[in-house]
Amino acid sequence: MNKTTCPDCDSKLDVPADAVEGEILSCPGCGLELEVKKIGNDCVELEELIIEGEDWGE
Amino acid sequence: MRIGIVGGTGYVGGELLRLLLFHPQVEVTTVTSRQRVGEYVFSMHPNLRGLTNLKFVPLDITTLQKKCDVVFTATPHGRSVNLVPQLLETGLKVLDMSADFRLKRPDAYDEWYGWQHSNPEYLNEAVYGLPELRRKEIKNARLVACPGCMATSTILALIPIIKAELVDEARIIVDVKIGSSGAGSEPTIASHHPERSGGVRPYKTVGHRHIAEIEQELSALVDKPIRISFTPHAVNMVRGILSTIHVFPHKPLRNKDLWKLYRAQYGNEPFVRIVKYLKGAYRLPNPKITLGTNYCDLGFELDPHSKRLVLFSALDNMVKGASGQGVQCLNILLGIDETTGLQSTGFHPM
Repeated sequence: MNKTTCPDCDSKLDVPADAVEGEILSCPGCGLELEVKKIGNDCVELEELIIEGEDWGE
Repeated sequence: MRIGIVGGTGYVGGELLRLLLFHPQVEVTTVTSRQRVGEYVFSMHPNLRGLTNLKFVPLDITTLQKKCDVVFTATPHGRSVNLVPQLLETGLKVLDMSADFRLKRPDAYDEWYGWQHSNPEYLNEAVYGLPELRRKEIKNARLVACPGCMATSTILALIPIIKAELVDEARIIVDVKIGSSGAGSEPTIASHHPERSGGVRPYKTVGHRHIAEIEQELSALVDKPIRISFTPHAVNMVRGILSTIHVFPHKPLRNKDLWKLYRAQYGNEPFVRIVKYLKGAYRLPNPKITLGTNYCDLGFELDPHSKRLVLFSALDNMVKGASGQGVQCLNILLGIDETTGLQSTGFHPM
């Protein structure tokens, strides 16, 4: 298990040991979705994914 | 522990009963009423049918002294002021749900409530019953003055921001939406269904009474006067409050800074949740999700366009805004787990 933090809200993130590059993780604090770009021994690189906005035309 | 409720016919009294009848460490022994003496409590609070055979009894200090250890006073504003000292004199502990002992300055009652306080010597002793702010004092209190519903919502949202001195203290703008139960169980022309339903009614748009306690508690955090611009709106809900608060930071802030601030303040609080989520229909606090619970949900959004920070605070005015908070204070007073009897998760969908 790799440990890192969410780039937006700083919540602690656990990256499963068997995560693979391209896998999408979700932050438990703010819901930000993060793509695993690189993973290795004790290091993980995540990239923020753009999430659909909330304006539904109301 | 034996509990009495003075003023049991109103919504706050009914909500206290709903919570206390399932509380494992207390027994409600006495519920008073002026108008419903002899009637079963479920005649006024139909959700309690089958749960209790308690009947309303007349208010009698000696009976309360004999049958209770702690008394909740759920009487209208201006009626507790003379009753509470009599209860305290008998050795009872009191949790007052009215505004009569919330303010520290006696002249604040002339200014905000339009009447002169007849027992000002008790104001200093009374502890403002917001556990997130005054837990230690509540524990040793003889008299707890439970906060107003809109005050609770506003103060909890602002505590971290005010303590950190991050924003322009002359521009704190509070816009509140509140459900009809906040007006109590006595009907008025404005609460009549054809008048209220489907509308949004700004009321007491300036000079609302809750401003006094909000400013009192926030000013005490930083030892300087904090001034609030506050306007409530009566909306088409029965329960619930959403406070939207606009503040203007001195310097640019990041989401990360605000998460850190709110986690530091509320990370260990059992009834405050931070709601700022990027997915789904409930991305920020919505009072609907708090209904029936003792939670206050807090969220925030940064607006780079107007250099503004918007805070959101949602709660159930009858629970965290009144009776639930009262029970939370009772638990602290009794030295038991603060969440006892308050662990409802609410409903979804509803």
